Amino acid sequence: MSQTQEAVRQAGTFGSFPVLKNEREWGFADFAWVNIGLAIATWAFLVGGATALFVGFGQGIAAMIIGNVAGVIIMLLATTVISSRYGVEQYTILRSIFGFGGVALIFFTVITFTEVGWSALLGAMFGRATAQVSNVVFGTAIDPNSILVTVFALICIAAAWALVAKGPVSIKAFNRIVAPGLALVIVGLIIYLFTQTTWTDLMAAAPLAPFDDPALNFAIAVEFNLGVAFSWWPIMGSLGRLTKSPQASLWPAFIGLAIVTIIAQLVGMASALTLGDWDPTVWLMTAGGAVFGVIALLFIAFANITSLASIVYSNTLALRQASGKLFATTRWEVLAAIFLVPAAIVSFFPGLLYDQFLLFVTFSGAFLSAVCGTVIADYFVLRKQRINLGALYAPGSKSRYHFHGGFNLAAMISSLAGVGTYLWLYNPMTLETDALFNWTTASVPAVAVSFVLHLLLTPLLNSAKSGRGGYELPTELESAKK
Amino acid sequence: MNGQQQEAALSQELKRRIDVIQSDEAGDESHRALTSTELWTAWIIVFVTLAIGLVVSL
Repeated sequence: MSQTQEAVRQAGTFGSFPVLKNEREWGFADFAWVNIGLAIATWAFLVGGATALFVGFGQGIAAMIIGNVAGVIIMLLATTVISSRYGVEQYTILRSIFGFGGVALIFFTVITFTEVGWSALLGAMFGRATAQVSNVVFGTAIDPNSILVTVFALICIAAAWALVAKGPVSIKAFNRIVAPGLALVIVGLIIYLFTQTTWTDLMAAAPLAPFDDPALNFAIAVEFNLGVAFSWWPIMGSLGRLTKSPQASLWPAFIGLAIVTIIAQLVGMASALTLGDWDPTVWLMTAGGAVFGVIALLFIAFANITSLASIVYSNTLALRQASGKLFATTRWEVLAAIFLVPAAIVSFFPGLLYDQFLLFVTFSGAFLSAVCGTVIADYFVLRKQRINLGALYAPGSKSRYHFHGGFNLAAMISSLAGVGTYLWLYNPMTLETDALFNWTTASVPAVAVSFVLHLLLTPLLNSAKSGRGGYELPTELESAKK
Repeated sequence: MNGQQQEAALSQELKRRIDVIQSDEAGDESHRALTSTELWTAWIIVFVTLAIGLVVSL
């Protein structure tokens, strides 16, 4: 195959060109397994354990359901549904909302921060799980913050890179093996937990480190779970474009990221409240026996690789398109490695990642919830689910999505206002809250403010007369129909 | 020369893909949008869940 033919072949799945229907890998079941593979990683246990800091089991279940169900649906409407319809990855789609420069700005600040953090955390989780296997099987005494944990984390990162280098087909194949195994492991963990405690004791267990105000504790628990739900935003659009229809992208992702996540989080919360440690990898070997323990631990360890592979795939695509001409011709494998370098560096500080987890999740939630509000207002209300594909790919000022020098000011201002609203209601750095936070959380008002403000600002800053954004112009489809 | 050829081939490929997707969209089968029923179902789930949250926090 000539170099030109190879470049054309890679332009869809490995590039930012639209993926055609016959190239799409994932039907309803496939995408459900991909999302289940994403959901059941060690991070779900960590979130469950962190929720138990503030609330008991009953309120914790409520907080997880509210945060994950509401947050995941809002996030999916702002990602997979759009990408699946056009077969276009989300950072290219976002040009129609934020402009070319706006997308680059968002990617190289918020998204890079979020995704490098999650990637490093997944690596560290793999490292700690592997260290635990070694400690029990070989009698080693590897500390959770040891350099060996970082070495294992780097192996996880390298494995995810190898998986992604072969493309989404390998991710699908890997998930078909790992995800069902993980589902069985989760069932086993739940059964074990209920042999160690009763439902009555579980419901009576006190939260581990609550504030004095019970309403505040519940609101923080909901907010934290909303933050987790919104934190899927950076990767879901790129995965969603490989699904065969918007329906096959929305509901399977909901099943995986909301329903299955909640079940996995419950394991973390129940084990934190009853066994004193959120992480099943710590007690699994003694609880489940050596054989089951090692098999279960290996599945959990590999789950971190599947989750990381999905992150790397999405962000490598994003890196290619957000960087303009800089990485336009860089080989896919090299680009994936470039994305993973910062994650590899951060994985040298596994303790920091765990200690600052709550801050990290809520801080990224502040930005991502606001962006979701803007995207939903733009795509569903202003554009009525129609995007001009030609304009997405037209260069610079030739595109109707060039807005003001590459930035859609209406979208940028409304998103920043959403972030401001979030920080006014809840400051993740200082943990200061406004009285309203106990009733509204911070993410929900952030979505609402950016949604409404974008609807108000767009006609003012991108009027029909100006032609900016093409809000009043027909798409090629409408033109063709006339 | 090779670079120019590659750029031209990619440009042609992009145009072909856009044309295919738009003709599918015109048929409104392969790449249809979410229906209003599906969209409302999603929003109702969101609002009911948030309302339950409000009740629990009260």
